[in-house]
Amino acid sequence: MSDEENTKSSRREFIAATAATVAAASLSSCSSEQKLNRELPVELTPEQLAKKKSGRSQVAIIECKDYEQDIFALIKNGLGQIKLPDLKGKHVVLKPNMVEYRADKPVTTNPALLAAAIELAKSCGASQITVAEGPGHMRDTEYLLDVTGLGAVCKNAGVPYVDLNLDDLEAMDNSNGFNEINPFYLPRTIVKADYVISVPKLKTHHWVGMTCSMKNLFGTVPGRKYGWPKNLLHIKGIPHSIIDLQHLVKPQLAIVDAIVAMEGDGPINGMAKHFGYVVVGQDVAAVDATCARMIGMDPDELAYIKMAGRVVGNTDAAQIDIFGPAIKDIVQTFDRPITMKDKSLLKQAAEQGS
Amino acid sequence: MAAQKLADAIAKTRQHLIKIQNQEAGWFPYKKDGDPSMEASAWSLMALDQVSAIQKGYNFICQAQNADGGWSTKPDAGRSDWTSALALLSVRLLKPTLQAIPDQNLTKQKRLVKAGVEYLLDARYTYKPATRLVMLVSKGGKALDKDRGWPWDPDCFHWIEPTAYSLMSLKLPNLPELYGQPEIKKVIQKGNKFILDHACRGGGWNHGNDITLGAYLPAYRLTTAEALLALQDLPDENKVKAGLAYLKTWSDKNTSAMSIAMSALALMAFDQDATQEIEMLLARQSPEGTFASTAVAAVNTVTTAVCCMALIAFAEKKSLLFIGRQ
Repeated sequence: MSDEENTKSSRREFIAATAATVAAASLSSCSSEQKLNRELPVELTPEQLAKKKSGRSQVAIIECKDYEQDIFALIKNGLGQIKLPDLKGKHVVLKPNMVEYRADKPVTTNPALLAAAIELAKSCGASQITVAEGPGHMRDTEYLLDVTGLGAVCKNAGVPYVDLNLDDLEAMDNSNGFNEINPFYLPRTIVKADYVISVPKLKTHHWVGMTCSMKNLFGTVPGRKYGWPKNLLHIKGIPHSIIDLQHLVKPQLAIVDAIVAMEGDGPINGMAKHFGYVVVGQDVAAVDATCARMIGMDPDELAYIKMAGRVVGNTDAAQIDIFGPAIKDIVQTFDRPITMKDKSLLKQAAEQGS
Repeated sequence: MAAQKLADAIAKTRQHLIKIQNQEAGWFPYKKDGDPSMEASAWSLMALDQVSAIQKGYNFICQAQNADGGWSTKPDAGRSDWTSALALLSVRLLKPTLQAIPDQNLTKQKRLVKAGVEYLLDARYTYKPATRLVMLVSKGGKALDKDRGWPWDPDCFHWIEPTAYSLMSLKLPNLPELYGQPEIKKVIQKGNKFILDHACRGGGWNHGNDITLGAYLPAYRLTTAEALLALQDLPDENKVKAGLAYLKTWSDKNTSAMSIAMSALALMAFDQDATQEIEMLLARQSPEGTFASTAVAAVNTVTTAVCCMALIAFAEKKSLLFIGRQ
């Protein structure tokens, strides 16, 4: 090879190497993969910090061995000093988890728990009750309502069901939000509700560690705008989107189905884990932090719960009054999703998206 | 099955659809008294035969087209999205009806379709230039030749349903000047490959994750039917055959009206018998012409329109959605 060819070759190699370096730098700053794994901000604006609930929080841990028990009565009697809201004249929306269906796995909120939540809303004087959900993976809502048994609960209780995926849209200002979706379109039923109750299933979650009352609000995001699955929320950051939804939807009560929960590769492929509790509270951040402790996770290990402690409510145990058994006496260490054991697997989200 | 019974059922459903059409603007809502829905409008127009209703709906779709050639889930609800495929599909399918109307502006229709097709070609999920460069340098040219479908939202990954709708809208005949273009053929091939590559073990398709973190995920009935409709020109593909076999395992299951209707359409597209599915639909039809849920799901217009299309296909032994063989 001549000197000139050598020079050309070196120049080509240099250009290729430079291009790769520049491209790699660009990739690390703007690709979907990077966005999926991006951290929540450390510095927060005064507006964001001001959204945190003030004062102490109360959470009730109510023993409930199985779904055959009178769950409504157990909740009413197990609330301790938690005062139920006066819902007279209010339109209450109950949001269960009905993301998908697997015959042999506890993926969705159990029908018995939803029935108890409806009864609770009625007992508090609600003038109108709606069960509403926008399933995340399947747009076949009618099928899901049938096979999960949640549709039968609504029918028996005379409560209408609204498919939030197909509801009319409201453009919400999210300029102080974290996920950069602005406006953030939400279903009118949720936006116009007087009182939203999150009724989740407690499960481990392979992208964010755990799903409970806050992550459950992904189901309020309209599929007609964002799709099935609501993949844009993953691209824009799952923790970011979870936090934004607390501020936009403003859930005022959580009733968690932790009677049979899910461990391992949740939220869909995990294993059933009998736990035997219903967890209730008006501060969703405190409820979720408590549930995390109950399954042997440190809430600060879960990015969105840690952030919720700064901008949603209380996650510090010292700020949460527990009614019911002490967590140390009932904690069960759940098998963690493999993504919590091997963080590098989160990178697969860049290809798989869900 | 009595032909008259089918004809009555179709007429009743069409009357219902016309009743819920916005009489001034021509659009259809997802649910009674709701706001405009591009998806509901597209499916409803495909199910109707009344020329005046179709013309009004067509005008709505024309006016709702965005500057980039795509459509949004409803007008003024942000950028173009997955409903662009359905809007385009309906406009292409309405062409014969519209051509029969005197004084139709066919040049305008042609422009609209061209812009819509161009939007779909641009809207496929693709890696950003920097990412492509890294892939090119690190893995060579083959890395860029990935299967590629369509997203729900321009910023998200590609998924089975938007890909299926987009493929259907591009594959329909009647626009040979577009269909014959090599670029479009290549796009269609990549879309086909995307769906084929994401078939679930055991046959069929779910929303698009056949495997996640090492776990193989099962197929769904509805998404399998949608994928098969998009791949009906590839009957000899093994994954298509497996998908069809999977879909047939559902034939005696009275699941949701939407999944039964879409299954019937998919089966008929492959010349398979759909009598069981059609009987189930007829049994579920309400006096108003909708297809009532066995539970409490509010009746929605898309379900009603797709059910109507399945009944029409069964009655007429043909459907607008039957693409034909390549």
